[in-house]
Amino acid sequence: MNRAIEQGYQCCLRCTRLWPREATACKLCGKPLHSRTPKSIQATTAHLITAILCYFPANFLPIMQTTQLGQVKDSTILGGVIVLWELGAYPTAAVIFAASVMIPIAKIFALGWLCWSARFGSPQPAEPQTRLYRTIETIGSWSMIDVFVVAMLVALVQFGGLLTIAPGPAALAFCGMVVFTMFAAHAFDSRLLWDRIEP
Amino acid sequence: MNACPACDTVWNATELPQNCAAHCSRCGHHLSTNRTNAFEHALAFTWAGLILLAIAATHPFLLFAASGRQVSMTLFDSAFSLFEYGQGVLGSVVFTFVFVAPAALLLTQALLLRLLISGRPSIWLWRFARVLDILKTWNMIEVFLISVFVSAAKLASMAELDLGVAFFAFVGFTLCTLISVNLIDTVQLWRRIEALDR
Repeated sequence: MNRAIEQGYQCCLRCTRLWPREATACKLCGKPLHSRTPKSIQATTAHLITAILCYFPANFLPIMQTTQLGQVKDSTILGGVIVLWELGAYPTAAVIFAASVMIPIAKIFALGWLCWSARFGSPQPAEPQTRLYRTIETIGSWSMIDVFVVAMLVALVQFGGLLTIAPGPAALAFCGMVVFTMFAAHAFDSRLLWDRIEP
Repeated sequence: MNACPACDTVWNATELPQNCAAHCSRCGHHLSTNRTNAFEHALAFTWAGLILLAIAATHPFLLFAASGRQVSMTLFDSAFSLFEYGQGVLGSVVFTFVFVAPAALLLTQALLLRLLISGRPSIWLWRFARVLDILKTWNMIEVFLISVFVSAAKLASMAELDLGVAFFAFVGFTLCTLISVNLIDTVQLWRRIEALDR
């Protein structure tokens, strides 16, 4: 087949130029060259585990704290979605639910499955798996919506003793989860998915 | 010669005609789009974005009134108010994603494209292009725009909410950033830099 690795070349992951296998860095853009990203699966798995560790505090601790007339109320991500749903803001509730609850879990499971497939093989063809990987990479930052919403609310809702919103510990954990899933996606080399078909 | 970064299939970027897009024959990944005057158009959108950002950063963003009191916030307040609650790490991260990264992205783009269009070979070309590659990953301006809409929906039920001048400038800034980033094709950018180096 007409793959770079079989023709004795390696591809630069930044500018996509081909260089001979002996080259150590891209002469055009300076990126270090590897035929396949070294330790890609290990790095992805390590970042994924960190993201999973962040997932629990992110969902069980309060993401913000509302103080209304001396009464303090903690709310979690899921609690916020339920409140929005009860208020009748269905599209907003759906956006928050998809971006903060569904997408992070789906991303972690999908990347884990891709690592497993690249390492141990899979009956699935490589093409839809590559497309799945590209999708994970593209939607990477969209889960940050909830963190930004908390930042906006904290900036705006400051009425002293009447009504105040403060950020909760889950916000940082959630932010960590998103950033580490982005690192995990970045560390994964999708070319490994094609290698097991034509080694 | 080039290869598909997703599946390692070899292709030739020099054979891509003007105003055509290339997709990988094996995995379907979008490889490159060769648009006429893409860099000139991108530079125009970059300048427009920088001007709108200057307006967005210096004017009130949202005005919120409840129980006879009014609070107005600027773009920076969304990050800095987190510092007041001891969430300095989170505040810095938010500040980086929604202000530092997009502002640096537009500035780098403006300088890079100016150099590229002037046609003089320079060591700064590839330095700027490398920085641009990193900034593109951490620019979350479009995500922030959606979260502004979500916050507005949440707050509208609590009290009166007014949109400031900066809000409209910010929407324009986000659109200009997205358009200019999408106009700059990585493969074509490096081909142009390579042609100048020789």
